[in-house]
Amino acid sequence: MMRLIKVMIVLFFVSASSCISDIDLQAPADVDRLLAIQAQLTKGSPHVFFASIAKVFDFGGRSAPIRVRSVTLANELGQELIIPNTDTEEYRLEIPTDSEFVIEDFMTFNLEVVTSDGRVYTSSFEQLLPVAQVEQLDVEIITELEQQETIIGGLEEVEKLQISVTSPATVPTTNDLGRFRWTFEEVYRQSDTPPDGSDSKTCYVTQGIGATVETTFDPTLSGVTRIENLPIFVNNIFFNYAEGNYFIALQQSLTPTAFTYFNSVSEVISREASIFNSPAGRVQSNFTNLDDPNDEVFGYFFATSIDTARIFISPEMAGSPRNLCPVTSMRPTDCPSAACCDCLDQEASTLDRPVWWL
Amino acid sequence: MNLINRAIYITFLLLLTFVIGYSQNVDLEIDTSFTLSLSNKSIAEIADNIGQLTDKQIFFKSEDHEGLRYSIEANNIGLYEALDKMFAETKFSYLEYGDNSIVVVPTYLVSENFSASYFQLLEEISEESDDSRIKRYDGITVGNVENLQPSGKANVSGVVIDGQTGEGIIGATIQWLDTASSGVTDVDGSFTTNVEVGEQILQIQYIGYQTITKKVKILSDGKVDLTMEKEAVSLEEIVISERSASERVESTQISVERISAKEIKKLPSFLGEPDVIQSLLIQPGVSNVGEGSIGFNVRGGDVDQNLIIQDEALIFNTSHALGFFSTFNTDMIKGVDLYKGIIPAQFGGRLASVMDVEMRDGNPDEYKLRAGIGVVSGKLTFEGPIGDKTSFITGLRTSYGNWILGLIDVPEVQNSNASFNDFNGRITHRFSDKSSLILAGYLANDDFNFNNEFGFDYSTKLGQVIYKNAFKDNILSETTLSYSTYQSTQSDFDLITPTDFENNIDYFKFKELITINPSGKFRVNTGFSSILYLSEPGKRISTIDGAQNVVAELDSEKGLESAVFADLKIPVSDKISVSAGLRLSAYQQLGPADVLTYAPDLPRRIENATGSESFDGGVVASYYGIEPRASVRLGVTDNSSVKAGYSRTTQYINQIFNTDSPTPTSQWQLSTTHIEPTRSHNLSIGFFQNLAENNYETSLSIFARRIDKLFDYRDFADLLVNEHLETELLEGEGRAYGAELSIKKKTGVINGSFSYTYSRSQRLVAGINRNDWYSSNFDKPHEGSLVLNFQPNQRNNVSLNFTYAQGRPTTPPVAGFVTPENVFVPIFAERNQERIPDFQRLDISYTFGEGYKKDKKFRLSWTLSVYNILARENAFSVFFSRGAFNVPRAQQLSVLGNAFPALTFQIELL
Repeated sequence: MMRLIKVMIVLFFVSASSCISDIDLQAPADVDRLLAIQAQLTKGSPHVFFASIAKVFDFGGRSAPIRVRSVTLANELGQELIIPNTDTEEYRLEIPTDSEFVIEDFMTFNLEVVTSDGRVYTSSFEQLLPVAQVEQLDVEIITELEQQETIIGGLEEVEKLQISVTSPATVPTTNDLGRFRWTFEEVYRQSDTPPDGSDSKTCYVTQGIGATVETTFDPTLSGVTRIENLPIFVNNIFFNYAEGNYFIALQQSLTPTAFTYFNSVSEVISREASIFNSPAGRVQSNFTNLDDPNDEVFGYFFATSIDTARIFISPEMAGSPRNLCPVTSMRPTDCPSAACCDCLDQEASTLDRPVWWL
Repeated sequence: MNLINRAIYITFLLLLTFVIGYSQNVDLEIDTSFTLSLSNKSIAEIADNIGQLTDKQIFFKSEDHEGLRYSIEANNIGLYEALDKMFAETKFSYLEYGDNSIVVVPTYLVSENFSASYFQLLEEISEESDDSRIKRYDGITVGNVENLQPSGKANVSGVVIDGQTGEGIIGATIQWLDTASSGVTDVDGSFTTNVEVGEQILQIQYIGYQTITKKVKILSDGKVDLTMEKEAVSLEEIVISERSASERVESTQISVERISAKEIKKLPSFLGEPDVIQSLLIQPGVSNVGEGSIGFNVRGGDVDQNLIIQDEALIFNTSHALGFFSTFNTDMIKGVDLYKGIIPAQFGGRLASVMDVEMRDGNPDEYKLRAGIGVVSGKLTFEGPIGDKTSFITGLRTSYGNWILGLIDVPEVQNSNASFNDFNGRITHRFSDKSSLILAGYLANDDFNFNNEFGFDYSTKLGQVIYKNAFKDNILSETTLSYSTYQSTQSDFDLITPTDFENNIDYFKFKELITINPSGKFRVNTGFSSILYLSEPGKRISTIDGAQNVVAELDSEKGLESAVFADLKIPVSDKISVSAGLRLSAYQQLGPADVLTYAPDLPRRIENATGSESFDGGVVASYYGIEPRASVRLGVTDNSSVKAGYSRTTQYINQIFNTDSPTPTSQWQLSTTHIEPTRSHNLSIGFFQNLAENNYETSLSIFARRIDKLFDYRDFADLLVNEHLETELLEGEGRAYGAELSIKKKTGVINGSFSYTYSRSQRLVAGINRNDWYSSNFDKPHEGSLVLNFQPNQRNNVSLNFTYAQGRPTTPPVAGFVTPENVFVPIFAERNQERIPDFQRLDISYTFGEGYKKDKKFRLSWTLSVYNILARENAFSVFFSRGAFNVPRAQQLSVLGNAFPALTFQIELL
């Protein structure tokens, strides 16, 4: 009998796991006309306007270009700035600080997009709030359990780097509590080992990181006036920490409505299989088609100030990870990794050391 | 009374009989004058003196006059005049028997009309008054001749109990053969019948038990308690003629499902643990959102619209292990009633249904120990007497899966735990046949942690005092005082913002239920109830240093919900009966509280707040409910009827969740100034037909519900620790309608049930889906279940359960866009526009060893069950990930995607 009980226990635990599987679920795909407008005005020197205007991906993964007649930025003074058209879906304009188009803290701005077929989308007015300066970034190694990408599967303990921020939680000059969003970049040093025996070069590679998360924080929920050592990012440790790495946090100021938007985006992009998932929802845009309120549009226009903070992460701080290069090969003349043969052969790579690199 | 005294008194009574008979025909014409003065004498002394002075002999029952002193003052007056004066201030009078005898009797007897049965019984007793004949009587004697009533009838009450469990048997038929007197045992196994005195034949029947036939000599009101033994032979031999079997047809109550603990245990269950909630899910009109979900949905109602009570105490969370098991220990319960929609007036506070779980009392006669060992849990039940009038029962259930988890060489499993335990204790003291006091307690704890990612810790504590008292045999009073606290914590072990969310809700409940004429066809239930809720709606605590910025705590809330109610059951004729009730409810939100005011005609958002009002105490907001209920039954034939019912229900407390299933920490929100009570109209019509001497029960019902003041949630609603929760709610209305078909074969070697439900549940909420009707999360139009039991004898039972349900609604992504940071943002369709795949599951179980022999001291049984034997991967939910080229990839989460075998061992010491 004990043998039978043991068999039952084993059978139970073999079977006692939830499972995720692909299914064929046809969803409506009547989205041909839907448009996503994402635009950002960043105060700086110079100020930078950036917009991405495109049709949304439909269920089949297709994305079609959209022809735009005009893109106009306006401020609360009634001044307008025509954004030059481009051949792509991206619009970028640097606006000098001495431009006639006034961009100042606490001013409000909006954006109007007119498509070639005459649809006019207008955003609500968004206020440009100054942002508090980051006082300190901290880094530490933490351990997380992570699913193994192997046949055996299971979990294993993985060391990661956790970045925390310390900053005032208030809006400069007003001392009202602010709302924050962070985006992240890194610049890492990487030396190549050309197989032809030529001299090795050291490159500095810049890349955006954290493309699967939105990191926001609203201190008004608790009323605290300081952000103390708040973890904002956790990154895997790879070769990009082998020769030195600068982690860069771009701290942005948000209005309450912009915060709500990015919080909603965070909700929909972080959905996982769980029996406790909150329901999916539609991220509300601040663009509307005044001629046709039922014409849905997605995306958001906001204005922000950014404070950039950097922290150097030495190889030792990252646990001395293995370098990418040299890559061993059966034939020494082969180049299995382009970055090792020529470190410039990758996007955003330069031999120029950034001025702030110590 | 010893036999000699008994014979003397019987002679006295016989004499009295003749006296009465005589006195009713002859006037007192002769009144002899005499003189006598006695003071403070016993009746015997006075009788002796009178006997010496007159020719009259005075007879009396000495026990009646024990300790009493009399005075007589006769100065040449007639004897009767003197006796009139002597007895004037007493409860006695006298009658003349023949020419020379006077009998002192209680005054009330003088004017009684005595029935033929009365005299007949006295004659019989007189004939039997020699000792030997009395000893030889082999039947049951009820009452005594001293209390024989002139009407010749007696109220015979008693309790019918199960010989193995000691618990009362509900619905056993009480039949006095050759008379028109009969009855049915009630929920406690009690019965009361009014029957002619004399020797009668009593027959008691109940399905699955040996029929009892007894000779009973009824002398006066009295009690007869009987024990029924389970039928140990083939079920085919059981006579199915019990009256209660036709209750489904004959009862006026519509839309009620009754499930006994025995039925629950027979069903195949997940990991071998019998489950009350699972047994409800095979009933028509009852469903849930998927395996592992908490609670159940009834006729298009949300999970929180079910009132779940355990002997009148509210239970806020019925789930162990996040819904895989229920908190009800089936060894401790007597049965479950589920009222769907048409709810008796004594119940209220929820819109859709009442699940009334009745706990059982301990065995008053002998100790019994029952133990069960399953794959992940075990349980122990112990019960027995404490003295003559008190019994107890305790039940402990605990899981022991954690130590096994530690043995599994998978880190994900090793880092998880899921443990629960619960304890029931109950002491019943019977002061008399008519009153009893029950002290009951209940504790339940759960601790769940998944891989150090998230966890739930929750507990229920409950204490109860129940006093039952019967007045005048036809008025029952049940007074219940309950206190309970439910505490829950949700832990988010996220590395960046690890937090604990806590919320608690306590309540005190008082209820007085008075039932008039409990055994009769005309019956009144009336009373009142009051519940004081004390809620701690939310607290968010950071669990690491340096993250103090996520700490928040909401103010506590208080609410008082009270009601008076009355239900009348009126038999208009043999074919027609009506049940009408009214519940008047009132709710008050109690301070202190700060209440925001919002600009009219604008969405209720923080930015539209215009001010706030502070209440230090007292009433912040008040609501009332006038809730009529009525149902009518029209008998079509002896075995079929048509019933219709309507009820209006009001709910003053709602659970806040926008997940597919509520979590253990989903907050119970009291009605406030801005969150109004929800209200529902419920209508039901059904045809009920029993066949083959009630062995087959069939029914077809249609129902419709309309819900006012229903609320749903905004997209991305922030529901955790939100001080202004009303800003996340959108008000609207709901509707549900459908039809239910049920066929049940109750006994036989093969028995079981089939049910099919067509049901829709929809909502109309401003701001959702362009203000158009949409399906609720649990809208599953087609559902069905089939249960088959093969039981060739008592020792072997094979059960099979098949369940089908159409997939419930989901909201799929239909498009997406990429942010400048290269984040893919999905765009979702309108709410609940698509459905997840259909649900199917087949379970099977085999139980061996349930046989019963009286001479055995213990009983063993083994149950082998396989849950989801086809290993079907039923979808709990559907989610979408980003595939190649940004193509959304639809994936389903199957909570129980495999077959789950289980072996359960149970031992019962008899």
